[in-house]
Amino acid sequence: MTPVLTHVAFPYDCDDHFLEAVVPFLLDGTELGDAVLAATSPDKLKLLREAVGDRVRLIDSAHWYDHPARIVSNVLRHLEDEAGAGRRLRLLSEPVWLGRTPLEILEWQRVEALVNLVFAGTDASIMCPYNVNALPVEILDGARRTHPATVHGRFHRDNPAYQDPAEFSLRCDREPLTPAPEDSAALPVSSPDMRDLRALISAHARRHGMTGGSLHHLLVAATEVATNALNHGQPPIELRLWPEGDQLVCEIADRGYWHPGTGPGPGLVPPREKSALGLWAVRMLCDMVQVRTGPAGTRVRIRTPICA
Amino acid sequence: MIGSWVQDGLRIQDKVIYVIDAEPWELPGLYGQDLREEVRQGLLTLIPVGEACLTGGMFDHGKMLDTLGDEIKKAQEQEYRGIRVTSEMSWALQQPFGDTRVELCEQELGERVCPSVSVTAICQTDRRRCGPDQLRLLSDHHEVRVIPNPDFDDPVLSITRTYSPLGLHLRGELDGARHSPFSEALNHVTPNGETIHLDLGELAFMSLGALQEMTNYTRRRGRHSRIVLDNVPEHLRSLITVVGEHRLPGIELGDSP
Repeated sequence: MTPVLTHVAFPYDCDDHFLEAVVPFLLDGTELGDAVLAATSPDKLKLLREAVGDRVRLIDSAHWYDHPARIVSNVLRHLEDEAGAGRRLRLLSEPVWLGRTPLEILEWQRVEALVNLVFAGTDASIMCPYNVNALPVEILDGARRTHPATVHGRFHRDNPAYQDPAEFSLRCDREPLTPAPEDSAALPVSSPDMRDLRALISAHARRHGMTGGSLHHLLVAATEVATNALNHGQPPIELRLWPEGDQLVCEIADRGYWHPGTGPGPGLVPPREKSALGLWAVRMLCDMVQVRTGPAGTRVRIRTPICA
Repeated sequence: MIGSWVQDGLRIQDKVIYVIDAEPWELPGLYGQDLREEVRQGLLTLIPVGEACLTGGMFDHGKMLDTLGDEIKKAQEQEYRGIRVTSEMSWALQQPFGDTRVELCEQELGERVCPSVSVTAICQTDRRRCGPDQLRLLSDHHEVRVIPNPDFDDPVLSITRTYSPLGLHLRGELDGARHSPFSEALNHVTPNGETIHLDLGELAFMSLGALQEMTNYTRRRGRHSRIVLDNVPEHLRSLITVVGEHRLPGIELGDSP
């Protein structure tokens, strides 16, 4: 029998309501011998600890959901490891929504959509609780569009508002990017030797207090994007660099039209070939990567928090 | 490197004096090559370490100077055009006051050799066993630092073959402009699918493409093929951790700096 992914949204309005559906979901998993994880807020974890004890691995959402691209990879890794040991993965997944910027919320909503693609064909069971009394309507609307089913009591109902996940993901990139500021630093890219590009980024990043691992990740990511533009795009290729709020923005633009095909967008789904890295790894390395492509060309914008 | 240097010396009829605990068929870099005939002819002199420079198990710089002085004098009398002297000295540096004794030996050796004689001496040092001060001391007393010829060398990247462990030492920056020489150097390390080591201790930058070159290499060489990354600096270790070791089949993190 072909394995079927279960990915359901669970709208709840109070703690009792939360426990009423979540506890049986988790305990059913332990009885079936699944690997059971629950990632939620500390106050919910406290309630769950009393209800399910140590039969379930309880995880603080604030640590677990720290990076959209990395969480997809981490859960996939968990799932593959458990499948290797003959166990299914059962996950209660309640990310942190409040306190995030609109761009961050969009990326986390995109993760919810990508779950349907990345884990399709697996027998993972994922329940995503949404507190209808605490979350803004935009977030609840996103939940409706990214989950194929919703939970009502102990039953699942098909969700008529569910959207094709690739389409949902492409819609996340519908908003055009603002133009790079006139006074941003610029560097033409014409050679695969990217030392000048790295030197310029390093100088600007250090000026904004960025050093160590995050700077190095940015250098690796920018080198990869610029190399891709050189190998697959159309000249002229240009790096632009500027600070924006508490972020350093690094954009590589070329004149090529990158046809993303029918998928959710470039680099959003881990490549099937394990060793293929490319834009998917770039997304893992950086806080946020925005890609816009069209007849006028392709722009890849990398946003990295600056410390000072 | 040392094997070629000894072999070249013997080929051009230089006298070779080698302080080493080894038989004539087991010299580093010449393992399996039987040099008993060269020893019989007097072209090659192998002096056991204990006989050359140990007193009570400790490095005795005076004894070393006497031993080498006698051998060099004999070679001069036999009118060799060139004299080559070598010994592995890392062990002596590790002993109590070893660096002081080695320093004295280095200072006095130059004074004991007549300037008109062509003597070349190589003090072999395993830099992995030496601290920065010891390396500085060795550098102060030697006019030339001998390193193996790199497989690839330009102002940005140098790739040098290593033999123990088998692999490559990388220095500089490795991006798309130099993937090709890197891939070529990987392919030339060994004809077999065995494990090779990459020393990344002096690699300031490595692209994602370089990681893919490595996984391409292990995939081509079969499922037993491994690349072990040694002395991985923190910034490269962090890159590998974020990408995920499971995404890099055949690649393993080895010794840390």
